[in-house]
Amino acid sequence: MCLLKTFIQIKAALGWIRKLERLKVDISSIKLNFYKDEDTEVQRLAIENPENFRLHARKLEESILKVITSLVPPEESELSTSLANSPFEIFESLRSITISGIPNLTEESIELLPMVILDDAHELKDKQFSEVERWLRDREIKIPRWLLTRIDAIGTSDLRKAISDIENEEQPGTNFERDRTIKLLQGEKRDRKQFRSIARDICRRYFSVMPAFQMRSINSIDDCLLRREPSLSGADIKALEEKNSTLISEARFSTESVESLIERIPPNLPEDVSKAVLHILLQREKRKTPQVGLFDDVYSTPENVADDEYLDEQAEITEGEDLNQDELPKKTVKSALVTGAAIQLAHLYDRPFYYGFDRLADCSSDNIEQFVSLAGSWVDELETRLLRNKPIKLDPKQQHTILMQRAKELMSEWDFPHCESVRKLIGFIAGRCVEKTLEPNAPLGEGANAFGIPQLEMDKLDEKAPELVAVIHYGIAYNAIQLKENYSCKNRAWCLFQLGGIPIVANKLTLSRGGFCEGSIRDLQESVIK
Amino acid sequence: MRSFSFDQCIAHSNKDVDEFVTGFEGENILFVGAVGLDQASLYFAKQFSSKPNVSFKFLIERRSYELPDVTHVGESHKAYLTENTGADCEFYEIEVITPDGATTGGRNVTNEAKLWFKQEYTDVLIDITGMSRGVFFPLVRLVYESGLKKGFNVHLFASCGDSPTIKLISESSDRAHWMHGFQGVAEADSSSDFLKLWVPQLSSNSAHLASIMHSAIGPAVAEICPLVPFPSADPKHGDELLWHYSEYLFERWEGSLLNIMYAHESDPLDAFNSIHRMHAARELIFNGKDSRRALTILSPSGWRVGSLGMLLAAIELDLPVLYVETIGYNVDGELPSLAELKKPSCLWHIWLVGDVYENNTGNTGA
Repeated sequence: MCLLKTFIQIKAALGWIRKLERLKVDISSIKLNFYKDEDTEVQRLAIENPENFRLHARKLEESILKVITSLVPPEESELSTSLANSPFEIFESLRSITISGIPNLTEESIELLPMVILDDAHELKDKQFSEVERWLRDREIKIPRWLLTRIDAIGTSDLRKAISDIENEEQPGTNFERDRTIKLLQGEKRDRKQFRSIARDICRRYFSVMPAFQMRSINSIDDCLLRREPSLSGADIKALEEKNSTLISEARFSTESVESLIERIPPNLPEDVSKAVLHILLQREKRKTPQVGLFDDVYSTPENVADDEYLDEQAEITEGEDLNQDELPKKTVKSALVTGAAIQLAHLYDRPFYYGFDRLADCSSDNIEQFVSLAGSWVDELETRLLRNKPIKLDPKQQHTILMQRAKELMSEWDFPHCESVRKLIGFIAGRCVEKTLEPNAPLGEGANAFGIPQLEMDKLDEKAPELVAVIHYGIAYNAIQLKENYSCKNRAWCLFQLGGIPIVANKLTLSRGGFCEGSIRDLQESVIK
Repeated sequence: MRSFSFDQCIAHSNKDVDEFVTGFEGENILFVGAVGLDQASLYFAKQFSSKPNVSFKFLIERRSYELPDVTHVGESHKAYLTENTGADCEFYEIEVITPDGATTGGRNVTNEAKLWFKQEYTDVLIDITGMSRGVFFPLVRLVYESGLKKGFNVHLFASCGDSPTIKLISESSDRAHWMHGFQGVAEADSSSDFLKLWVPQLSSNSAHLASIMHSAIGPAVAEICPLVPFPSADPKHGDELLWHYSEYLFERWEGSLLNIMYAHESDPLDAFNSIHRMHAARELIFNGKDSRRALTILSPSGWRVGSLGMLLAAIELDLPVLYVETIGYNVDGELPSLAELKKPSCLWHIWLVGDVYENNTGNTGA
């Protein structure tokens, strides 16, 4: 650990000097200021001659590199006499660096405060990580320091344990809450509207540097999207109508009850969606109404009653509603159900669902990189149209088809550790979600895009399913899945494996979070082994 | 004891290797091989099994996840080696990747192998056929250095077939690592201003791995000279690889078609010579007092013979090697049967260290 601490301090000092050198600052003129005078070689060299200080640091660095990269570890006796053992304590003593100006920028003397950022800290072994973290928390260190690590690395059991160990084991001179702040740079929940506006801004910036679009004064992808509502063909609408009529006659619904259901459907809906919503309402009504058959009690099982209760619970957890619930007249169906009907139509009749800029932004799981790769598919198509002198407009069907194709391509291109297992896991979760989404009575409204296991099982992941640890780790790292732990539903704590935006689009699922299929960790294990 | 060099490298290929093996004798021989997944990894062990004074040591590479099919193939190959090499045969398990993704193969194999040389050997034979790069690069270097120090002969053997007996789909790590024992000064502050030449070996479906390695070297790459297999059994193979890598090589990294380095697909000395000449030319140009120094970084991947050439160059010129480790394998298609053991179509022997270099002068090739 001593070697690692020295190495980090040497790297930091050399890094500061190199940055200044790249700004054309004369290294011999810089002055390193310390809190107090100490009789150490490092401080003496730093004060007397910064160039010699750098040479000394470089020698130490190379001697440490020689030790840590040698084919076989050196003998202890060799190590004790090695230069690598020399002290290089600078984090506790360095106050600032004074430079006499920056060429072509300023000639005034500047006092710079040094800062250290340790990037990719997840590369450290868990013990190293906890030691470094503990060391950097020491209040004797005066310079500001950041430790950057991947969020999934923190989630990995060993590292998670390492962190919890640190939290439980207060060291003299440190206090967890006072000396350390964890700041999430990724995975923080953002408001969807906020992300949409960021995405719009990104699009504008991209378009502004694309001459092909600038020549035609196209400033945003929004300008190239037809806002027409998609519709099914006449034959498909007729088929939907027939399905509803058959259901009405089979269930022997009265005209009044059918009309009361129709009244609950918002009048401004397209005809095909309206009929699909009616079909769902009829299915639900059929399950609620006691049937005439003496022995036919299939529709009154406790399980199906529970579904309706679940629906109410679901309404609380659905987010990203398109319509304001409060403004709707009483008894009008919830917007989630309308979206659910549209998703069912997308599966059964291939009606476009992923179209329009807002939905494109929502598909990106609040991830800019994912947004750029999905939006890129539309931009590629638009560029081709420009070259071929075709109309620069994408209708909903084209938008939907291109987006789905890109999502499938991106999934098939996944090439990261354990990607095959992640694909299998995603395939299983998506399959269950599609099944749930297509249930005729749409028990979850919009449908599901997550798989939930009891939190208690997740807490014993290492013990119960060690082979899943790495799969989940990389699934999260590459935005294939997101974990939502301790999610409260039906008076139980769940851990949700939510699909990322790309698997959602590839499997035609809802973009709203909250709907999940219940299962156990065993289901996930089996899905990976298959 | 002296070693091979650019000017003098004793090597045999194909039927000459068989002749060499037939006539090979030694007082105390150590054969180091690996329980590989391809049947080619069994060939040299079988050839040497009939020789006297040979003790066998085989490595079994362990990765964080192993499919039952892969384990099954490994077990059957281990049984074959035990049966054919007799009682004086030992197996060593080497953890190549830890469950948390750390690359440990190089360190583990050198820690194990350094203990072997407490015993006196006259010849050490290393068959790299069944070993991964992260294991054989450090192992060969350790044996090479031990051979020079202790004065024993070091022979390198490699075999491969036109069509592998088992079709494997590898899953790679998402981080690039410096090869254990081959890092040199690549990450030292003093080399931050070096003019870095990066030589990635191009292989099928691995453009993203090259991208990971390129990011690891950072913006300091001054030039990229991809190593492309040509001549090749499939004459279009090199062009297909360049097409596969074109987005990275020529768009993102702004590489040039003039920088492509061609090397014979089945001749490691061709790759070795090309890299050596390239490095020597840069050294000549950039060794002036006021000019920035040159550094050549190698990245082996894919076709083994090319990697073998890189190994020779890395050892002789002390070049840093950057690579991406394989974390596991999936089997595509049927598992092969051991009933008929096919002879590999390409065989190589390279004499790394030995008394043969004491008297010989001039170029000696395959």
